[in-house]
Amino acid sequence: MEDKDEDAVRGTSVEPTQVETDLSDETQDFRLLSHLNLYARNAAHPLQANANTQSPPSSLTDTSSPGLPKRGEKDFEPNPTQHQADVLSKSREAMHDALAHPRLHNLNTRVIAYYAPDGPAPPPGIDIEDPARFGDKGVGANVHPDSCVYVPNPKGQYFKNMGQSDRWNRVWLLPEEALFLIERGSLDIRWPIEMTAAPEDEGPEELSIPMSLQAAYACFMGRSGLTMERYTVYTGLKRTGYALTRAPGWDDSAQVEGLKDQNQECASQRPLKRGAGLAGILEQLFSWAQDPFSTRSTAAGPVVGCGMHRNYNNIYRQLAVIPWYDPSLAIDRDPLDTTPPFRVVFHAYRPSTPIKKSAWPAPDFRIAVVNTRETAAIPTLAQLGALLESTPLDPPSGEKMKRLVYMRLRHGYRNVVMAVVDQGIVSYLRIADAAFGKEKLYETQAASMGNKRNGNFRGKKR
Amino acid sequence: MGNPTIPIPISYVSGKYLLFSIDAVTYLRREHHVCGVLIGTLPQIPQQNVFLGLPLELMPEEARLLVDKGVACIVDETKAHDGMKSLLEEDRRQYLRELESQGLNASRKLSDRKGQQREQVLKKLDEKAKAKAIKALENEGETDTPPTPSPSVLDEERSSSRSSNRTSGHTMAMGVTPTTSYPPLAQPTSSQHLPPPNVPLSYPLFAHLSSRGYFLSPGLRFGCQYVAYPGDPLRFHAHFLCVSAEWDEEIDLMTIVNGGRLGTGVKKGFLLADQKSPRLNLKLNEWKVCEHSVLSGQACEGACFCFRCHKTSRLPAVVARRLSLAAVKDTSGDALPCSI
Amino acid sequence: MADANATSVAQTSPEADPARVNPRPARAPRPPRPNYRLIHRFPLPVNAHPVPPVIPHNPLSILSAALSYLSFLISRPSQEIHSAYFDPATSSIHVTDEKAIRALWEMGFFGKGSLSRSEPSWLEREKKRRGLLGGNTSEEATRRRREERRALKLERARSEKLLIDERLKLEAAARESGSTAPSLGDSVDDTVTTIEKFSVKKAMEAKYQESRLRRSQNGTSVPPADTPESSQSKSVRFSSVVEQKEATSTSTARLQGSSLADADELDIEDILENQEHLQISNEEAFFLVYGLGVLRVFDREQNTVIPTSNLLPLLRRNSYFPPHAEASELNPDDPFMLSYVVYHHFRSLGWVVRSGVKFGTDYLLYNRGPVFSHAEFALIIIPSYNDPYWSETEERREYVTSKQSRSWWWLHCVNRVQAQVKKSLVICYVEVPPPTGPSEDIAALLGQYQVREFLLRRWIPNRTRD
Repeated sequence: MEDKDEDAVRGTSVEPTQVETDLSDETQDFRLLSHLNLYARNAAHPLQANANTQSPPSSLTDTSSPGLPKRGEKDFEPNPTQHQADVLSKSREAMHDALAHPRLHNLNTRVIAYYAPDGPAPPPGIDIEDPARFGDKGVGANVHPDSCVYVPNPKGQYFKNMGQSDRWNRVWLLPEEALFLIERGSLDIRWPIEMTAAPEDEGPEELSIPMSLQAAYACFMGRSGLTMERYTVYTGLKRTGYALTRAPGWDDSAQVEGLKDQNQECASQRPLKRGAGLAGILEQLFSWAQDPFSTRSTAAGPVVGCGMHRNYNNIYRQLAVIPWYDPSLAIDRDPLDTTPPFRVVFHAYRPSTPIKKSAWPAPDFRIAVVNTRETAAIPTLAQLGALLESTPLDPPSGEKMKRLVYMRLRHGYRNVVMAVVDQGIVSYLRIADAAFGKEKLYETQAASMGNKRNGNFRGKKR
Repeated sequence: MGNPTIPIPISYVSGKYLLFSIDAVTYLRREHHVCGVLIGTLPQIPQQNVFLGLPLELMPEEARLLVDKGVACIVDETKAHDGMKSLLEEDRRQYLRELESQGLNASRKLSDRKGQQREQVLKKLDEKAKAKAIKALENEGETDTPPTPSPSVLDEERSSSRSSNRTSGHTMAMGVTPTTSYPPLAQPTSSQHLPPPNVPLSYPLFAHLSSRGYFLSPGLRFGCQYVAYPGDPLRFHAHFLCVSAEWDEEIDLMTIVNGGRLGTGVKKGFLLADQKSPRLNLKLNEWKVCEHSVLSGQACEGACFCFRCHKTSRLPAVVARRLSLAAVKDTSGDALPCSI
Repeated sequence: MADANATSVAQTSPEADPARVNPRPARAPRPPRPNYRLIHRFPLPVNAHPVPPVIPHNPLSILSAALSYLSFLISRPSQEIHSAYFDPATSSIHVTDEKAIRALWEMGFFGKGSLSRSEPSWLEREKKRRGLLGGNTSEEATRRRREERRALKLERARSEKLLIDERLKLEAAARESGSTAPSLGDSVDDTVTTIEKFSVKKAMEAKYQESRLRRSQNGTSVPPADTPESSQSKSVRFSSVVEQKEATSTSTARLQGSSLADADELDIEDILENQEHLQISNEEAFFLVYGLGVLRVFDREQNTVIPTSNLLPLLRRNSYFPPHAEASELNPDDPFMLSYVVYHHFRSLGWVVRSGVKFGTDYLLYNRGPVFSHAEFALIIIPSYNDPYWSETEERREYVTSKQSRSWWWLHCVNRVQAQVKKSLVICYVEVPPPTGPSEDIAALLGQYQVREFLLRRWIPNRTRD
């Protein structure tokens, strides 16, 4: 007999399968970027445009930026040729140039923002007589209390799905939003004027000190639950065009009061176990009618009995003695009734999903973020189960899933994306509650065996 | 590409080790084979994840190695930025002037570049016109050719573009977001440096491979702890997928099967290593065990084995699932005491 | 029963639209393929005797159904019960009876040949090898392909070394003549190396095309799908050192091989005795005994049947290495219980469950069986200890933590391997009950466990954007 699986390996092991190929998996040669560089030594190609103006909104949905190359050539062994050394030093030069590229702001299009170390506050000089009237800190209920940067004159596309406006039309940004915008060269953040002690006779724009990228990291990172892992995931997805918001589970310390006991009570009541129950007893009765001389014994076996069987479906039904978890019967769990970091912290939206900042729609993806250096072990069933149960039921649907059993299984009943971060490198895993127990494979097999007149049967080599 | 001053300050931010200075990044890569991971967005192409920019995140292992070598020191960046509050008025003004000159410089460069582009476009246009004219001359009398633009038209176009060039030549300084905060801040003194980073149990493996000239990067995405490159990952493919183990740790055979499979699939060796042990030589029936030349020979503080799974290795269905490395120690050089 | 076009249908996807499943345009003629559909028509080694269908408006059908029902009541068809032996030295179970081997393999794909990759086929291979049967074995083709590949790799390493030497000479000459080192094009692609790069893949392809041509000219058929790997993967070169090492190791192997072959020739005419037995996993054995009742397991030494109630503890103790002593208490989370619960669960749903060792997983799940399709799912088992019992003492908590913990890199490693072989990874958690006293009721014991499956796959943000 040919061993199909070995054959599959022979065909594929040398080439990474399509799913595996991901350009960002490996370090790419920066020489492929040199034409984008303002300060490049040998700028053969024209500079595209100013960093600020180069990204029209339409390109948000287009990651295959014009300059992006296919993967480059690499060597497997170092050798003593000057040639190899030259190529390497050229590559390093190109990398140096690309990384040294400054973040510039065209005076006409630049957006200035100010750092507010103490969080949202009314503009200086405005006295709020009755702060309580306006909710938190008097800037308006919309503004997230963790915000720490405000934009007095918000213009440009970025604020469509980032930040919240206050009563004075200033947009307040969360630390990750501010850091993302400064990093991509789209925001000119200034130190607060009070903080750097300026004389009174100059306007705020002229005298405030621009914040460096390094300062932005030092000030925003670690603020209000923003870890480097979360930020890495946030920017990685933003760069790809997704919109992201913080999920209710953002705060690690948040717990659901009094839910624990209640939940345990629920757990005992939940009919999650599927196996021999009432249905099983009926089943036995039925099988007895089929075969009254059954020697079936689940205590000592054989489970299906020594007698005679009318059909295989019946045999399989009798064999079902192992309890299994049915995700479609599970009760939704509170997002906070989970164990951090196995908790959804981001909601992600595809670029095509229409977004209203005032009322975010249901997310396309729910993302949990794990730092492998802090959480070295993969989740236990209790942790993973709780995480999945905190996401809404999303059963397989649609014509294709109805038809294809593998697809149904792969889609599952609930799902979550786990971003596993190892020192700045993110691997995403989609985890789904599969519920094999809901798919009685033998029934489709029997159907295909019965369907032999026209010689068609499913379950063939792919 | 200037050389940075030693020791290079590594920013400690929110539990992570970061580098913001491009000179430090280039230098450490070239001289110490420390690559780190770029995690920032490149402002010139901000909508992709293939090429990333500053800052560079270092593994604690990398930071530790550099501190131990005396090449770098750890700075609490959040604390250091409190210095912004006590900036001297003179320093502040000088810093703003400096930024302005940088901004001016940038806008000049940009307009120069624009001018060059325009020149190129015009040159092309010129050549095209000439070629057309020549062609027209050749074809004269045979067919009616569309009128070619007269030289005067071209001149007009050129002069107009030049004048516009001149107006934009009167440049305003662009705004600049500097990458680092030094200046205006002064480098912290050595008394303010943080202690060397804590490192995981796999550090000896990291340090060993690094001392042998390998470039190492975090390996989780590839299913291991470190990926080892024989040269700069910019130009070389990785050789090994490395995993560190404790001397008496039980290693599930399935882990070795997986590692071997994975390594073969991506043409790399799966390298399993531990600390404090004599060199072992494992021979398994269906396994090709080869020690890479770089690692063989001399007694070293760590022993490394490289398993390359033979492509069609046939393993019986029943395998003794777990074996203790300690058990293998006694039978070094011989077949494993389990029925593979 | 057999369909003429079953073999061609065998090429189509399991979920293909029936309308499109019709025979494909004929490829190169290939040797007739066994009619797997007929051979493996029974999903389990249990007989099923369907009652003739009852059609209400046809009294005859009722009569015939009743008749068949009655006839079964009077004389019951007997169910074949096969024999197997437990071998304590290797903690494994063997089936040696030829008829039992065929039955267990053909109906439900149980076990594997001790000398084969999966189906016991040693005898047939051996006959072919000795020229007693026509045709080439696939093993032989593989060997030849490997040799060719190795030769080509050596050739590539050699040509690369030459290239480097050449360049070094050039560079030295340039240095002597005082000029600067050979200038490097500013272009990104390295045209020199790209052009001169020796691609094993291309060479293999060329060679394959050539041989194909030759064979088709000779009018003989082309052997089945022996296509070379075609891929867009980057070409990677191994150092010449490694290549040489590989070459020497194979040449010695070949020497040994040829001397063996010589020895074989002396007694080539001897009647071949089948040296192979079917080895069934302990889980398979217990399923056949306890679940289906179609197998008896004998104690090899005493030659007595091991009763089911003794077989379970025996297999559980033998799931450790070395096996636990007979007197020792059974752990509710011993490897056998965990893997049996999962095995039984998926078997009861109709999957053909086979060992996943070759891909580093616990099980592979086949729809209908390995001859019909690739395994779609690869399964790993992780115990879970949610019962309050397991967190009552510090000692237990530590034990449970060590049992449950798996590292992230391990998970990614497994996941990567499954992606390489196009399988979906399933993490199967098994909820472990607290220890209970000895019980005779196996179903009650199994009923205390619970299975929960998670499907895991790499998520690539770029691909799910739209």
